[in-house]
Amino acid sequence: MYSYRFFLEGILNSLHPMVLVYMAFGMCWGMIGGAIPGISASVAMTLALPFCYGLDPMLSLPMISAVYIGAEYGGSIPAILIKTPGTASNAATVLDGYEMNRKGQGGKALFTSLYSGFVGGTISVLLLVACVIPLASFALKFGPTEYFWMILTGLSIVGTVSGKSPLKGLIAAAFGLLLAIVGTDKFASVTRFTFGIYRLREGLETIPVLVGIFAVGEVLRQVFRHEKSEAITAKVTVTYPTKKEFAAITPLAAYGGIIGAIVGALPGAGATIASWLAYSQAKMLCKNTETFGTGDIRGVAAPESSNNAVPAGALIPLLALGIPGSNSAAILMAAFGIAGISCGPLLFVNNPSIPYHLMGSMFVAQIIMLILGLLIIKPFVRITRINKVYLNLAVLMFAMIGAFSTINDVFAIYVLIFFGVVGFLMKKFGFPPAATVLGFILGELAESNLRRALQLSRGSFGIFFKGPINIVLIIITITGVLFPVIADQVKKKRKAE
Amino acid sequence: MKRKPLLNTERIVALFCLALSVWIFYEASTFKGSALDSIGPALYPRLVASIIGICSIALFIKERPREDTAESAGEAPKANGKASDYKSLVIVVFALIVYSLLLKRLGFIICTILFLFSLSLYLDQRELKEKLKTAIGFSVGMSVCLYLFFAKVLGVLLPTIGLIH
Repeated sequence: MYSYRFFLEGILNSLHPMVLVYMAFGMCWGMIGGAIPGISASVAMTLALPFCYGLDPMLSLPMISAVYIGAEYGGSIPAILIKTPGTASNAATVLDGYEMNRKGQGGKALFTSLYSGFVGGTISVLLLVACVIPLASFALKFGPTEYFWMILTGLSIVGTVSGKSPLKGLIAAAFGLLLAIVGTDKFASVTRFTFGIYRLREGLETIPVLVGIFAVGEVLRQVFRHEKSEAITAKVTVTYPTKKEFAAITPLAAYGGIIGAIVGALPGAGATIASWLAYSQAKMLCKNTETFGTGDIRGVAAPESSNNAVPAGALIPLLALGIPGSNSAAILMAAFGIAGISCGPLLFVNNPSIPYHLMGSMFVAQIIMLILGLLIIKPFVRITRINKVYLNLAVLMFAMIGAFSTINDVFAIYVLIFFGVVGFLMKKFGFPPAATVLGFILGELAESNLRRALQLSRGSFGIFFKGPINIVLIIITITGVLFPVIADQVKKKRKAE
Repeated sequence: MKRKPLLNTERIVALFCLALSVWIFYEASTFKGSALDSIGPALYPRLVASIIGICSIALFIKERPREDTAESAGEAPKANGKASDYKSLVIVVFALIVYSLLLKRLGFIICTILFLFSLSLYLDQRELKEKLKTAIGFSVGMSVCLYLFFAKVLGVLLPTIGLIH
């Protein structure tokens, strides 16, 4: 099959030394960033975004996805060693991982996390390769109305699923769309929401907004809560699972990988949901699950395999449809944007080497992760001894320099600070920043497709409701939005009774 | 019997969002379209503003304040934060703004040293003698390393002192 041949070529391209170097850097940073509680995969990726400027996409895209993959594994380290998940997707790993550590099997748990992540991630990449071409070919039939509905579907599902309140999520997503409007309207050459500020004429730069909302917002939140870090004092030696344990966890990790790939592909569902789903599936399907929660190795293998599978899964809709499958995939989409490449089915028509190279590099990344994964445990243990104040200040410095470097102007730092405060306030009042970021990234596409469609139909909105794909997407949007709202209401009524 | 309040935090937030949507809707009317473009630059912003408006109204209606404060937000009560928490926050944001204002005047290295030194002293909770050493070492070391890495290795044009004169 053609796609497998190109995929193999993509793998070979990824073995180029420069690509490997960038991936290794990205992987190390992702692992360390993911391991530091308070720096999530998204924050780690956004801090790496400024490095993509001026970089060949064949280098920058594998680097950013390596950060993503590394962070999902890295977060398991503190989860196992100090009962604190490094990223939200490692929360399930704490249950059995920390117990294993208490029993003196911390090193084995760490290796299990790495191994399961490798198995899950590899399976996920293979699924990615298998699914993306058929999906992209299907998406080539899409016209502007279909694209518009698809963006709306993705946004509304993300809005209603992320965060506690579906309504707030939708408001957050719509707010993101508004942020994308700031600037000059291409169709009519009118400035919108620029408030006379000259530098806003080109619109808001992606990096100050993203880094502001995620990284600075998170630092402000930690300052607000006076969070302190916990140091790891015990020595950690890595041990390996027995043959019997390997036999038990390998199929489980494979299954977790499939779960992670599918959940990753669904917009709005990311590594956090994937890890819990895999954990609960493991509990349901395995024998003798009474030991789950007391230090069962399978309780580490399941969530860690699925959260590592999410990056490749999230790439499926991103490459095929142009809709990121997870919050962090949206940041990867921003990396595409920095390189001047737009995601979607036309990517395979115009620039086929890029998606295949990316897929190939994700495959190679799993191997790099396996090699580096054990090497960073010692440095990480040292880093936890650093006072959180200094870590946060370092994050702020990287954020500011990163923002500054985008337009070589202090204005970018003002934007960064502004969105840092916005991100902080949003989190405080229960609005999911991830929905806003997605709306911001997809906003321009949404409007241009809307207007293109209306121009084709000469102003008639009816065009949006014609055609089978449109109808299906509308139904998916409505059910996707109403389902959590109704489920919410049902839950509340049950509580009241 | 206690009278149920009309507003709670959630409702105020909803009203804020509603106000935002109304303002955007109005602001959109100032966008003049061209003759060639039949749709106009105001349609889409208004659509988005309407979504926000509808959701805010729904949010307002949904968050009916109840008598027992545990239920008033429909979710676990978030610590609203003492004044001292906000104080740290405001100081950090203020420091960031001052940094940006002074960056071009003082140059990257000096500005960064001042910024990191002052915030290290402020945020670090330890004894003054203990943290002074760390603060000096961190602020100077970090500034120089960042400069070398970003300006020299990566070629970012960080401001140097004397640029604006």
